[in-house]
Amino acid sequence: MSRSQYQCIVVGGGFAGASAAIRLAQKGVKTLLVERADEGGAKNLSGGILWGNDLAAILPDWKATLPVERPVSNKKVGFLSENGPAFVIDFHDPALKTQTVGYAVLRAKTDKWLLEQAKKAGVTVVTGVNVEGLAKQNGRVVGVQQSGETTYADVVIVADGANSRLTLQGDLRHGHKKLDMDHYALGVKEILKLPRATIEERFGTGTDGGMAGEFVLGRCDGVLAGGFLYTNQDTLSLGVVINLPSMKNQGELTTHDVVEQFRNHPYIQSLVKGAELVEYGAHLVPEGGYQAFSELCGDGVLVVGDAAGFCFSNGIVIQGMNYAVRSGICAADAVAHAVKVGDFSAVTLAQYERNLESDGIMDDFRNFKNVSKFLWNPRLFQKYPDFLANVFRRMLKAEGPKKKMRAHLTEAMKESGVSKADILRDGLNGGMNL
Amino acid sequence: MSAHSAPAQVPKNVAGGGHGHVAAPDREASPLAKLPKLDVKARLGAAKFVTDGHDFAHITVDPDICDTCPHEMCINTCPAKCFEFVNGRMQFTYEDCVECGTCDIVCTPGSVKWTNPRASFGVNYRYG
Repeated sequence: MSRSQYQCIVVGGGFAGASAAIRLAQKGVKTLLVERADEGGAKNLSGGILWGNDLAAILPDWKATLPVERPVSNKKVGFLSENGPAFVIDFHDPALKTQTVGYAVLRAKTDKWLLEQAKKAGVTVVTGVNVEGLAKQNGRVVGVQQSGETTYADVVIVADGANSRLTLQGDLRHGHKKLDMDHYALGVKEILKLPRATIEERFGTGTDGGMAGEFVLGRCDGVLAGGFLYTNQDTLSLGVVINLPSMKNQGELTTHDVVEQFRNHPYIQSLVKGAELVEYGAHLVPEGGYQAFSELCGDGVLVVGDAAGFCFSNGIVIQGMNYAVRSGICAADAVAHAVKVGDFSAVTLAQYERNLESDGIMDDFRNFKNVSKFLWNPRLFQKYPDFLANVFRRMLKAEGPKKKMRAHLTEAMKESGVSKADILRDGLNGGMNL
Repeated sequence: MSAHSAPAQVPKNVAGGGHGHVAAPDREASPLAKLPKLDVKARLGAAKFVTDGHDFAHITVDPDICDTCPHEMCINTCPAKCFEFVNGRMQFTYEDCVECGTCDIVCTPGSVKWTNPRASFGVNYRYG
């Protein structure tokens, strides 16, 4: 029946593609995974926290064998004022060292491991091959094109990441020929090398814990950006996520300036001082959520992970890798179903969408569909970091008559240009959307 | 926004300015502008690249279309500083590209043509 030795071709060897391929092999579907990097992970970059336990569905022992950096046992959420102050919530829980909720990871290590697991599961893994397009016949996807040749399969799973060329080439973006700037943020990341002992002493993680910090970057210029800092074994992952439309009309300010300014904030500098830069990179963050998904299935094709837009953000965490795993598994199960019934039309493959519903992924995205409007609220970046700094400065000041908290708040609001109505509105919005 | 007759080279290691940019905020007032800077090209030196021969640029720009661009956001947003005006013409340096795709997204006039580098070429993360 098939013109190919493979029933399914998975394009992309990140968390989504590898998970889909492993699941397919486990279900007895003959699967080819094609990765454009010479070695798994070499083209992949993420902020760096893998949340949850979703890999357990396909790799029950993953926690014992995946090369992770450190479990998150300390979470920081902070507001950094442009002129120096930092207001940081600092949650430590030693229990999280063993009852893990998330791990700092580095993709060059994890994704290489994932492709090894795929091979072990029976997937044919080919690296160093760049798929140039989806091959179509009569509007139906029949395989992939590479160097003018077509490799056929009954179904193709597109897992080529946030900057998905295949969904554009294959016309799987609701008619759009370009990714929409409003639905993507830019992540810029540095890897900073620091001796293991220094990390453990400076961050108080111990040998068996780790820190994950997220920060609102207070800026007067209108650029909306958040910063992150994670501890790895003997490196730090430091970076920013920048709202792209807010970079418009910014004169000569660049995205690489923004990450530099974050690194040089006194609070961050105290944590990273002495560290040596060993890598610099960038990656798009598909944070458009529910409104921004690509087409999820067509005749002979499914889209998973970042390529589809399964990247979740609620302000405290950005989660991409775990949704990549889950969407990959949902797609694989739909393909296994299609193999069983011998039909690879969009109607049959729409089982993927039903799997995404029953998995709960769709509910997660529906529940948070307006969150980006709240998160990219200019007041959050331009006013609130200074407001918090002003409140605390006033409370700490011992000179003059003692004032009630309420008076401090009123004065700080005045000084920071924040109104009660703003706080009420943003508080309500946050409450409703977070 | 910026006049193409302006000096071609955007000065490196300078955050402030906004010369000739009407809507640019007053960045000199920002404490961030006064920080010591590390050139992005020096930072990129830390990443490993396998550079393709000059016969294949995976991203191309049409400088004539760039001349019509109202915002030049590629210059601001490219994390690898691959876009700059040289002698008043937009020039793209693909060798430092980290393949993020930002330029394709922000290029509303349609000058940027984006494809993946050929297999085995381009950025090669050791950490990621």
